[in-house]
Amino acid sequence: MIAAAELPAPAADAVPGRRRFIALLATPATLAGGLIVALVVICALFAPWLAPHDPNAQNLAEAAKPPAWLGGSTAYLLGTDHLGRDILSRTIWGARVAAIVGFSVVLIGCSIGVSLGMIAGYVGGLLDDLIARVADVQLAFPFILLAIAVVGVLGPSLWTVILTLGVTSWVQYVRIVRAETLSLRDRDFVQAAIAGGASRARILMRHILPNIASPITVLATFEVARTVILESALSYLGLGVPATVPTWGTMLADGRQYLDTAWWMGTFPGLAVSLTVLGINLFGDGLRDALDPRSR
Amino acid sequence: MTAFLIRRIAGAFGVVAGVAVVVFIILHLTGDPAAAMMPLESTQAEIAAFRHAQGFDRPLWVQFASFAWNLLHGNFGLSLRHGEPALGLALERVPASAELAVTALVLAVVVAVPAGTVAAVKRNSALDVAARLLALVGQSTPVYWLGIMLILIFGVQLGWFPVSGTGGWQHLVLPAITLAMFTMARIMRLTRGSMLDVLQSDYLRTAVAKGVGSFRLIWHHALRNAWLPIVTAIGIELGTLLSQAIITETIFSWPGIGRLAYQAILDRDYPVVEAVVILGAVSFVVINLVVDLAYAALDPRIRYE
Amino acid sequence: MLERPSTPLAVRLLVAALCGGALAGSALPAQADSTVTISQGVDPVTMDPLKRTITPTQNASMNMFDTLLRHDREGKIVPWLATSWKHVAPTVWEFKLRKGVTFWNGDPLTSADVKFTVEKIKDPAEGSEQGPRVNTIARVETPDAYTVRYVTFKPTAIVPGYPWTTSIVDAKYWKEHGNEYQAEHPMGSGAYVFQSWRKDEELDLNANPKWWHGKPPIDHAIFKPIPEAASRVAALRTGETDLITNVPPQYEAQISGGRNTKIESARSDRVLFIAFNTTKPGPQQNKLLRRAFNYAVDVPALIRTVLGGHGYPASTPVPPNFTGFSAKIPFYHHDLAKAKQLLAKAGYPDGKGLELVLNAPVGRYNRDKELAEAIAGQLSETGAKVTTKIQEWTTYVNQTSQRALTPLYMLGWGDNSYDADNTLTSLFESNARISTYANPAYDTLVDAARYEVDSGKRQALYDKALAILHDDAPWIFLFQYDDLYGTSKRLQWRARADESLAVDEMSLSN
Repeated sequence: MIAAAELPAPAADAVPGRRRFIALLATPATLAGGLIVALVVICALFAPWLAPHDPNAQNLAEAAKPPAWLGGSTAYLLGTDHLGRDILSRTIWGARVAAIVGFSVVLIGCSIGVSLGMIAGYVGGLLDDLIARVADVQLAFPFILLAIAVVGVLGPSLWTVILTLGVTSWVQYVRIVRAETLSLRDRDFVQAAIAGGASRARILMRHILPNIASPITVLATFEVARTVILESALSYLGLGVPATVPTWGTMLADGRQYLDTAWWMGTFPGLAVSLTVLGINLFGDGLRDALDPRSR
Repeated sequence: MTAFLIRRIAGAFGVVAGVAVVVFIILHLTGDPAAAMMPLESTQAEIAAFRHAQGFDRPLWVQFASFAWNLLHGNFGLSLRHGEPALGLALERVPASAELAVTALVLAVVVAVPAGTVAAVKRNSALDVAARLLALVGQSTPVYWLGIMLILIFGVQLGWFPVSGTGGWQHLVLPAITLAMFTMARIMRLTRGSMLDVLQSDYLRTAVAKGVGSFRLIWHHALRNAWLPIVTAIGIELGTLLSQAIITETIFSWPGIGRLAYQAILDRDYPVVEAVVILGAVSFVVINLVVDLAYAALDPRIRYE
Repeated sequence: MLERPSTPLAVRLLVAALCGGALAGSALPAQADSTVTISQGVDPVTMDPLKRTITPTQNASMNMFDTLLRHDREGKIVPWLATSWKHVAPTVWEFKLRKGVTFWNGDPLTSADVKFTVEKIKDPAEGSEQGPRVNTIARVETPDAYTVRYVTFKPTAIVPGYPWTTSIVDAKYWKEHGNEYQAEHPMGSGAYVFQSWRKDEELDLNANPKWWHGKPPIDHAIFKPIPEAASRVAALRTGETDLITNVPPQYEAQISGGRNTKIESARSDRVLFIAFNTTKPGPQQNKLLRRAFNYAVDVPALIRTVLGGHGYPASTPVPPNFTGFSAKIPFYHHDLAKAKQLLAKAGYPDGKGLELVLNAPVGRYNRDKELAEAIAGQLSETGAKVTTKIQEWTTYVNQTSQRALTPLYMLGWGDNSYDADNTLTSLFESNARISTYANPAYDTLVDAARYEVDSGKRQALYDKALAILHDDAPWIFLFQYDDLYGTSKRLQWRARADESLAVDEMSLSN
């Protein structure tokens, strides 16, 4: 419900023309956001070619070396970690994991949440109540216990983390989608479709879904940022991605014990997280303004 | 209204029952406490004796029936780790956690709502940028990272605040700020967004046209209409706070329920985990019920059929 | 061996003046009283001393309860509640108790209390973790109030019942109040008297002025747990605590260079190792591969970099200060060429086709995850592909229990028996619960040693058993930890190998 409030009412039957939409997106802030997101995506796609070192190559002799400009070596521009791995390379590879995790988690959460939300809002009645209560159970259940159970049963892996985060993020979507569907259900164009004999599935897919796409898109962009932070919390608690997969979260969690002796270990991945969240927020805000006819 | 209340309360019981079933299943999926509790050198026979003494050798459905029966009587059994009643262990941690969570929540609201309002009114000004930057930091900094930074700067370097445990208000400062940051960022973004919506609405434009003074306009007209989503968020954030508290309590050695819960989960201390989770579920449904009622009080337009 | 740190006369006089009030449990310590604050990572889980075996809990109970015997810093057994002990028959050990020892409530400590204690731990209904410590004792006899006899099932060369860690409780008090009450209301005879306990917050203890060993030098002891290592170090630097345990090595320079802080260290009895699961099919069943991996790991480099120099390479699973250790067993020295050669001989030239998983826990042993990553890196230099699988402890130990971790897994072994028996049986005997090694010849030797009363013959058996382990290499032998503690400069204390924190061995200077 929070996220619903963060968002404007949908532009149900006032979707702007494509040209105006692009013009609305072309503000400096939105462009800057888009550029940052693009940079992360490029790092993610081309990590093997961009990274100067193998992100997992250890060199114990070169452990905890400071960044190049602080007396380190130019071979390791941003310094090395406690096992002599290159921070720059790990940060670049981290973008790839962040992109995979962010995208997959949002996809899982979104598909579950949107389907259940539309059903709850459109069908209503007992089913609606049931879905709302299941959502409450999910919210009232401690995330960490679930994470331990999933990791314990499936073993630690990138996909376990994605699954854990994915199945816990659907509630947000349900709440918004349900409210939006509810308000759309009685609109003229939906009623007309019902009168025309359209099937339930057809109405949901062809008439409801396109009209709730914009709030979902915006929520999804914000969820990507939250996912990065949650992945890092899992790493702190020892439930994260295996160490051989370089993620910003594990780097941050490992780096916390070196904050005052080798600050670069956690600071650079930390900056990467902040920058990514900033980019997504700016872009998301722009998207929201462009999609919302009222904020013009 | 009465019918609505009855339905909501019935639903609340349903949620707690659901949580109870889920916690039982999930806990039994996470593995056997015997291996964790008994030392590595114990023999198979000693492990079996432990399992028998704790009743873990009974069929799962029998264990569930006994769990459910005891739950109905408010009896969670003895903690495997502490050898004391689990519910008591959970309840004695509530005051410390509540103190921290409520302080953090108040801090978050007190900073975020005015800051978010100003940011919306003075959109794109320096103040707006500053507020959004603070929100960014709060949103993108992991709790443990923020906590350790605060400890190093304000505890070790400046020596202004103690870094561990409880005591006077000084002990509360750093953990409360740490815990508040994420929620603050969220509420600030939310207030800003929802104020922007209200400020652009037709009736507010009408009010401007009628010449209502700008301060009065913001407080009486705009914020009053923006309150609704903010109250909702605060209700849910209190739940988030309690779960985020695990890391904050660990970093600042705060004797709260988050630390108890986390340790109990790690130890597979079934009775304590069950007690904490169900206690949490009960407070969650109560808070949400109160929030729903607060809606009705704040916004007479909402009706319940 | 029981050296007592000296205390300035002025402090002693003040203490003498104040101790009446202190014992009565008066609220706040007067300013002149000396207080030490100790921060372990974990709070004691119970005040009942007969339930758990975990170190932080034992460290609290050892200050409130006395044991029959104690170990001195060198690991030698010394008298404590028992003034003498002897092996009177192959299956009988006799202890003579000190006279005039009382519990805090005035109850005298007699042989009946010792008998009650052992029987309480042995009772299966109690589900005590300490059960394995007393499982060789058949019954306890009390010929008189100050004589106790442990009668064992079989002849044994080892003093039974772990008399150096088993806290003696007040039988009368216990029977009066029942089991559950003990969890928060201990009644001991030890150096420090229980005052109050707020869980995960503070355990307050006051010096016992009537302690049989003399009133300890420090008036008050506070156990205040701080779970996060970075916070623990910060609290030491701000003076909020006087002693912290488990200091990660990267903080060493900061603490030893601090104005008010210093580092203490002790060679721990805890051995860290990587075991091969030889009971599951796979390349690890090949002895040549196991030996190759022992040569591939560079233990000194691991100690230097990951542990900041704080560790001692181990040649056997048994630490050198334990009975049964054999100095005849050589180390595996780092030799990558030899490792590759052995691997080729095993059928894996250049490690071709070898893909192995190294299992490790996180947050259990000092730098466990980092060590696993570094070791996997070193093993990969042979050409084999070794990846880590890191799991949270309880999930991990459940799999250990089912012998399911394979092919490689990390485990630490800390033992306070000061004898090879427990280590060599629990970890390697074919029928031991967590053992992943099976060798009938080895089993025979270790079983014989367990019941061999002649110490020379016993050592010869262990020499042979340890040689088998070296040759068969069911482990990658790693190291013994050097435990790091941080203390304030005003605290005088020397760290011990068994991780114990006896406040009566500490003193404060001003």
